[in-house]
Amino acid sequence: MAAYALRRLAALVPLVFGVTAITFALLVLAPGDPVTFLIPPEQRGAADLAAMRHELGLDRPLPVQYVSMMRDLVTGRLRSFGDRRPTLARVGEALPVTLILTAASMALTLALAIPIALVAALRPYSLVDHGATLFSLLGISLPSFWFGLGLIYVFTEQLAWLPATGIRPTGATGYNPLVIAPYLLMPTIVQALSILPVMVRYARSSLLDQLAQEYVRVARSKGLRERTILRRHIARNALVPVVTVTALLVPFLLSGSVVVETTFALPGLGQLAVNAALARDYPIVLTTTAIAGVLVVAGNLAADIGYFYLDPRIRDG
Amino acid sequence: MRWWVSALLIGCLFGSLAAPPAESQKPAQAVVAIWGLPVRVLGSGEAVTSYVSLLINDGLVAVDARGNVQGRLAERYPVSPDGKTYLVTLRAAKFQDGTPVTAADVKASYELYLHPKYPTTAPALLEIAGAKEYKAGKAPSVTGITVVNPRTVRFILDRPYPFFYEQIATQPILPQHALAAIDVARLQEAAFARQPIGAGPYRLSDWREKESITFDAFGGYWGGAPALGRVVLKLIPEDATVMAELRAGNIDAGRIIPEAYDAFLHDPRVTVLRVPGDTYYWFAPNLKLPIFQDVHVRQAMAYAVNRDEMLKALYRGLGTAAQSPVHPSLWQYDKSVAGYTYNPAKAKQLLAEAGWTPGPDGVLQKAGQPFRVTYGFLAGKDYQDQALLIQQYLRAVGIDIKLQAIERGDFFSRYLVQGGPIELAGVAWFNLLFPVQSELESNFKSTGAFAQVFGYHNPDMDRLLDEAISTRDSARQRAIYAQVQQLVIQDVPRIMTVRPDVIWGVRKTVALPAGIGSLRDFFASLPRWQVR
Amino acid sequence: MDSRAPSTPERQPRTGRRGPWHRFARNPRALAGAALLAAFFGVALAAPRLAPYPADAPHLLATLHPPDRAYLLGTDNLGRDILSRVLAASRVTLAIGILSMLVSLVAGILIGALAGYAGGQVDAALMRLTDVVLAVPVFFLTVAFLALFGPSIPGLICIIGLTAWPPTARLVRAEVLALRHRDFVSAATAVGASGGRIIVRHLLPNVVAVIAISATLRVGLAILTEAGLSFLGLGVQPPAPSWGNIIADGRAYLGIAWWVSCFPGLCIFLAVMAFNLVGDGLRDAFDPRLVV
Repeated sequence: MAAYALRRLAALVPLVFGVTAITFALLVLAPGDPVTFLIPPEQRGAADLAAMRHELGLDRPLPVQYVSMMRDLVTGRLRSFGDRRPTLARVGEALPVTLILTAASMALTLALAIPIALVAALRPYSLVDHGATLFSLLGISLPSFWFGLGLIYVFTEQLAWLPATGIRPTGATGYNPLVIAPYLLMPTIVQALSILPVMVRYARSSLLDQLAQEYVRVARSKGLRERTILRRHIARNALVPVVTVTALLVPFLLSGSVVVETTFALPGLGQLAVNAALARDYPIVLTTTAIAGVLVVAGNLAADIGYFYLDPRIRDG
Repeated sequence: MRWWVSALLIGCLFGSLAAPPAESQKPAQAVVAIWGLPVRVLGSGEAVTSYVSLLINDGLVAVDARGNVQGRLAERYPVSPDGKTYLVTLRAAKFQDGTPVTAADVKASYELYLHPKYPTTAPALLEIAGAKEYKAGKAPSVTGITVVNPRTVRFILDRPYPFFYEQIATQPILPQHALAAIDVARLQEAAFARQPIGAGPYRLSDWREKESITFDAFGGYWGGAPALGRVVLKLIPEDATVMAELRAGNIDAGRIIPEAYDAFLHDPRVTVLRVPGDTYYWFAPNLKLPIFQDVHVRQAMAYAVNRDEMLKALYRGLGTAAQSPVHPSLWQYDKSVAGYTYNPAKAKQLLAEAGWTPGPDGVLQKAGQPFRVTYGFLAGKDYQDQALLIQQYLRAVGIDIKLQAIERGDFFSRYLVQGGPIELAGVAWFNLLFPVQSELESNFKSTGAFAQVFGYHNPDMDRLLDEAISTRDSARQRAIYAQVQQLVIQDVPRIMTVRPDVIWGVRKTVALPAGIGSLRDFFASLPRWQVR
Repeated sequence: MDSRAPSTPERQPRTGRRGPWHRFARNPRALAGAALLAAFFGVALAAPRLAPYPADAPHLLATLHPPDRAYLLGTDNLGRDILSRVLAASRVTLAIGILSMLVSLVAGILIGALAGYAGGQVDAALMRLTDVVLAVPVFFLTVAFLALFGPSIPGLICIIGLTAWPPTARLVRAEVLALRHRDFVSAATAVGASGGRIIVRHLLPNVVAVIAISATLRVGLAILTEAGLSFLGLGVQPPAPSWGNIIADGRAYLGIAWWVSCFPGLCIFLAVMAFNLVGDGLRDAFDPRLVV
């Protein structure tokens, strides 16, 4: 297993280069000069654009730019065009917010999806099943920013129960779960509902598969209580793949974070990436896509490893 | 795998934490929502940066809301009879690290702004004797700035320049010992750009990317410690969210959209503050195109626009028709400018005089060519909505414009450079960011960056703007600026549309000082806020 | 996100001996979805006749006007009739959804079939490319592309489509690989059929069901993507209306004039829901174990 994980990690390297190469190609093909974004138009007259271009290394041939950006990225010397701070530091500040939001969304999704799937799977094609599926589809059918603003209207503007913006109160530092929870609640709900139907569907079909297995019939015939069968046998076998599949939803949640973080003014990776793209901060765009690619692959790997350790048939066989 | 245990735990976690947010607001703190945070506080000219600079920095003098000069770090600043020598005596002031503000700091600060590698040197600074040589890297120091003694510094100019105070002496004074450590070529990487030390009322104490900047009152401020102990500028990009947070009391101040103005007037928890906006909207033709070279055509476009209706429809009437490029709060503003009022008949008549005749589809034509041009504007709701109305107005007089939203970066990098593909461009301009004279020069003088982008040149305008800096008689200056404004109206290098008011909602727990006349004033007033 | 258990090409129907369409027709959710979709397409086709006003005509005396007889769904901040805009937008939005789905299908089928049929180095190279595209959270790439090149409707359709092909390509490749060595393909090769002909005549029909399912779901996803992009200012550029940009334009008025963003929001909600219901229904009918 360790060898497998290492192989997978090694495969990351060409992948990250592929991802960044595609991104870099986009950046240099795009019209417009990044330097002009750095100076407000009212001041354009006074600025020496050629000198700024030289300072940022934008006057070099493209392959040289790419190679030197990648080298600097790996060694942590790559700096944002905007504030000239190391991109890894910028990403490092933003990453915890996105990771926490992603983890919380996964947890909430599991907490909702499993009961819903169970109810649906026990009476397939009944009214309950249809209702459960419809409910799970609610969240994914709404544009997330609109859903988010709706929540803000009700829970912040009208009821004043929850804060709508930021990750923590002003003056607080770190990510103490108790302190940041009220700030995370609404964004987490929006993110979780967007992947809920996928989870419900997966859990439901997994449960249905198990229910049709021979051992269930055997257990029933031996007179075991339905609840015991469910808990001891079915849930155990059916939900392992469900838990691990959450890791495969990482790219989906990361994509969603772009809009959700903007809606709730969360200082995360998604917001960083959008603002960098809009401001043509090439180093930040490259770093965020590279990091996002790593996260996606790490998610896949986690799913594989989780599956390996959680499923006794694979582990022991 | 006890999945239900974890599910239960997660459920409990979220359940127990859905309690109302902790009220962590300390007595003398104000959280102000802001639409964007500065990237750095040195070597940047963004509007937001200039507001932050108001809190942490101070200059020799400052310009008040009307454009009048007030002494700040400078106690006395007499000018010699020939108008070329300024002897500035500093008051006893301290930087936020406790070191005193000295003449050497003043010289070091100006040598930073004039450094060959400094990215955004204000043109007026080159009026200082020896500044051009220093900027070109040909001199080791600026000869026109002399340290007379620790409290006194002498500025000598190349010529009698009447706006020394407004244009030169307003620059922030920074501590020499901190500047010595800065490599100006890599200015933006300097730690100082994000951990600045100034002589202003607040110390920048915490900077969180894409989140907030916190300022703490500087007890040693020469003007006395600010009444408001802490200011937090909190980034909230969404209008709806700002208003929700304001109503919920999670922030103390935030901007309100005009559509919500009435609703907030009736909110007992919020004070509504309305001031003339710092920005005005305009659209400008590319004067290099033959179609726009006839002044009648430009005047016709100016008559065709119904500014009052635009204001009413888009801003609930909260604002004024923009008729002058000068901010109305300033003394240079000519109150008698009449400008253009909506008169489509007059517009049609002017176009007819210019030789345009109605074509088959209602679009004017001349020599078989229809009057069809592209109107490029900055992508964004405000510009978009205005563009739609302008399209209607121009269509009504026979001019057909095709709207093209252009993304911000593209707009500035391709459109607002010389030789950019402009036909008509719609944009908004900040007013109080730069002194009036330099703003007018860059926009309307034939050597100005933006005058060149749009191809505007008028020898009379150049002469007037030169005259304005050749006299020190303020009545004469006022008269010259009035003529400049009249000439802008007559020549129509740009069609000015509206100047929407800026509306702030402030929680009633804050007592605002009187006399806030612009957005810039609003930020400058923060030290005087009283929080109950 | 598509993944499925390895399966043989001829799947055994799970329930009964009837065909998949019969199962589809007996699924009330799927039927409701299909009916909704039919309604949406009908309305979109008839939109110009149904709209009471031109979609971009401002009525400056009736800005943010609440719904009443003159303006059934109210007006926006420029006094434009929401009903007329929503109707006009239905065409734009549905077209973006369907065209971007077609782009992703064509790209996915071509790449998948080529990889599966050619094998060897070509296969390896194409699958690495697929991995790379799958590893980018597509929204990052979409946002970067539109921010850099400027938003346009063809650009939107292409980028939404071109970031969505990998799952289809993988499905098609897997099918092609599974079928490649089967008797009827060998027989076809023996009688001299060309590679392209074999793919089109024999291999693709086997994957139609799988593709149809993911295509249906993809349309819903594309509609949501456009809305998210509009929120960031990168979707369909006004004044051309899309459901997404009407909501995005009206989002600041949620507490003042709910009707501006609520009605187009409802449209997106129902349309995406309908596409999901139909997609789910197809999946249940053809292969309940498939997880797309």
